[in-house]
Amino acid sequence: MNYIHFATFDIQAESGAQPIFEIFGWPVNDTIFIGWIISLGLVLFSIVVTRNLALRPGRLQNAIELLLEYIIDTTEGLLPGGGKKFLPFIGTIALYIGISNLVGVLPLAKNPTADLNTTVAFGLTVFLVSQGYGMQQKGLWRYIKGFAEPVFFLLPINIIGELAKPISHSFRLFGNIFGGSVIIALAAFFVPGFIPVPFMAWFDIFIGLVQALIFTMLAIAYISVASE
Amino acid sequence: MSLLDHNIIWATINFLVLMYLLNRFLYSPVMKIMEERRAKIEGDLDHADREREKANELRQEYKTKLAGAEEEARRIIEEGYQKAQEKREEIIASARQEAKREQERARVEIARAQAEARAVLRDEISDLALLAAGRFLQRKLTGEEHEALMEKVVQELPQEVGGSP
Repeated sequence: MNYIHFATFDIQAESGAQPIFEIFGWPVNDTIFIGWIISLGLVLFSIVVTRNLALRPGRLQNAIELLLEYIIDTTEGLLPGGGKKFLPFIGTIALYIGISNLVGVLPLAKNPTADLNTTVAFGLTVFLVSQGYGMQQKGLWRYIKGFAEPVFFLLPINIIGELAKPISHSFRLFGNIFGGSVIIALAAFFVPGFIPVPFMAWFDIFIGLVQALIFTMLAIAYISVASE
Repeated sequence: MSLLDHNIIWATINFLVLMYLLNRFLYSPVMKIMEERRAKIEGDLDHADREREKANELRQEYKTKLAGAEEEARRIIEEGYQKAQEKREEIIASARQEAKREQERARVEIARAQAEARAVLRDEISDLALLAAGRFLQRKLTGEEHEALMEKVVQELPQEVGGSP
């Protein structure tokens, strides 16, 4: 029992978010701080990459264009006409979540997405954007009426279903990434000499990429569904 | 430790700021350059289409010109041939005329020579005949006899030596 207690404590420290400093009396978690560093890195990378864009692209520019075009095309598939409009939103989600899911392979780095604060922040934003876009596309009355379809008594179920989306959206990502880091921490705790490379490869890289893709696709799908 | 706390604010701000900055530094410039490239390619294709059309027009024009030139050449050759033919006819005609004139002149010459020869021959023969007759008679004929004899000889002469042609 004592052993288990010790283990859980250690796992908290190893994989859970820990506040490291405060701003205006509000604590900042280490995961959030890593998120800032990732954001900073992304912005710096963007500045460097786009400093000399050319009509005849180099390798790096080609890769970036390919990635952005892939995001646009994917969005366009679910949300016709919204590819370029939603690129900043969807692209940022894809890039940030993707890197956040992968960054756990680095020593001492925790996944920002292993913190529910990050995933709920994204999930809520997606929820607000999808509802707002739906309202804008359908008009207020059709938007409200949409909750009473196909029959009126489904209204509460529809509302619950709509509200469940951001919760499942953010908890799915959080659970997968946090769970992965817990398993890796457990493996590292019980077999300290064993470097859990296969675990890390599986949970940090494969699961991380898959979950980033799922999160992004769901964000597009939610916006698409809400606007139809 | 609760799972949700003030950190959600930091995360949201982070997301929104990141979205703004990435839009400014990544998406907008990249989309702009892609749009520029698309526009340039479209412009180039349009330009190429226009050039091709122009080239086609030019080719058509050259073809027409070439056909015209061929026609002209044929006409010139035809004309030259015609002229040469005319010239030939002319030359032949003039040569024929010349020849005829030459012939005529020759005939006149011959006639003249004949007449001359005839006159000379007549003189010779008359002299000869006179001589022969004189010898035969052994005497000189008087003027009257001579004249008469001459007349007689000449009268008989044309049948053998050639009188009027």
